[in-house]
Amino acid sequence: MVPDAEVDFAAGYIGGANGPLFVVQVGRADPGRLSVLLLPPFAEEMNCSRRFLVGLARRLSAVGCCVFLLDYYGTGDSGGRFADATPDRWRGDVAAVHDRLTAHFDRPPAWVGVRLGASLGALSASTVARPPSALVLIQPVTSGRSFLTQFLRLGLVSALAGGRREGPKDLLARSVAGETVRVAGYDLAPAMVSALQALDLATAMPPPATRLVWYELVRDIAADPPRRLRPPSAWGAAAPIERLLESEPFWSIQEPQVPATVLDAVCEDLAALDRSWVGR
Amino acid sequence: MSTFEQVQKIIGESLALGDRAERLTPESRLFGDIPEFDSMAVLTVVTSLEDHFDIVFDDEDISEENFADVACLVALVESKRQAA
Repeated sequence: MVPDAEVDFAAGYIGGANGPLFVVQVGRADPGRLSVLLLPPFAEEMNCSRRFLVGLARRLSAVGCCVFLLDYYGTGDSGGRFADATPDRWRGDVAAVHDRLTAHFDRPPAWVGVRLGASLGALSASTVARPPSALVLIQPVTSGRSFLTQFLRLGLVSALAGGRREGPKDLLARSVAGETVRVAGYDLAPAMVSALQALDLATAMPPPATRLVWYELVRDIAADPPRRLRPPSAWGAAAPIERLLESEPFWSIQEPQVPATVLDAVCEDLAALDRSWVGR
Repeated sequence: MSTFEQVQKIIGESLALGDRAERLTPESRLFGDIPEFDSMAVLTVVTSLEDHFDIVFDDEDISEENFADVACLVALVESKRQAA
């Protein structure tokens, strides 16, 4: 049963609107602790990020947080099929786990999202009854349309290894016609495709009172061209703290990566939150 | 830095090859000589090349011929840069 205040590590299910949600808890769930909900990225990026997320959970628990790693509907050990998943369902999952943690801990959890997980977090933060204590966005997906096109390119790439050759245009046409398309082993229903196409981070309205931090990762700060990934200007009053971190883009590398710069930054940003909270 | 050296560096970084990136030559076959070069890796290399060189690959560019070896990939990058 999670959250569990008696043990340092637990795994169990929290009821979601569409089925049971598998959640791993790292760190004792003392109600006075800062809880942190980790929001994973999409499909293969999630697989590549798994080691990082576990490393982050361990690191945060070592500094006194209680961390929860969520499998969205249709992924990992949660209920449902990926073919029935949509970003809206996943946002509902985030809200369900958030509400459960908010009821258990003295204050709402902080959220740390990676890529699409960060985007889902930004889009959901203002829709939960009590907003998250902080929102750390690690290289969020800003345009679902571009993100989807990149993902659908896997249909072209798989042809290089002897698979069937289908580009983004072919796959989108089949999806529009109502077919579920399979890309890199993932079944994408028409509802998933259309929702990803419509996803626009600029439409998110993060709550102004939530500490909001935006990370962009570059391999070599000195050598790389000027940064291009910026928070939407529409966020206005909710403009985040921006950090440029030197790190491998761990979500796109099959060899597991746990970049220390990112772990350090998340710890520092959440520690700052904890200090300000304790001071109230 | 030549286009080959830049492509070599990007492949090495994208696939986390470490020191092995320096052993890549124009004749290195992408599928075959680099065990890490699977579908996701190709996509990562493609996206990294686009970002680094500020170019865009068409669907037709992602073909067996253009990804046969490092020299073919370098030639593709150079043709896209000239066309840009």
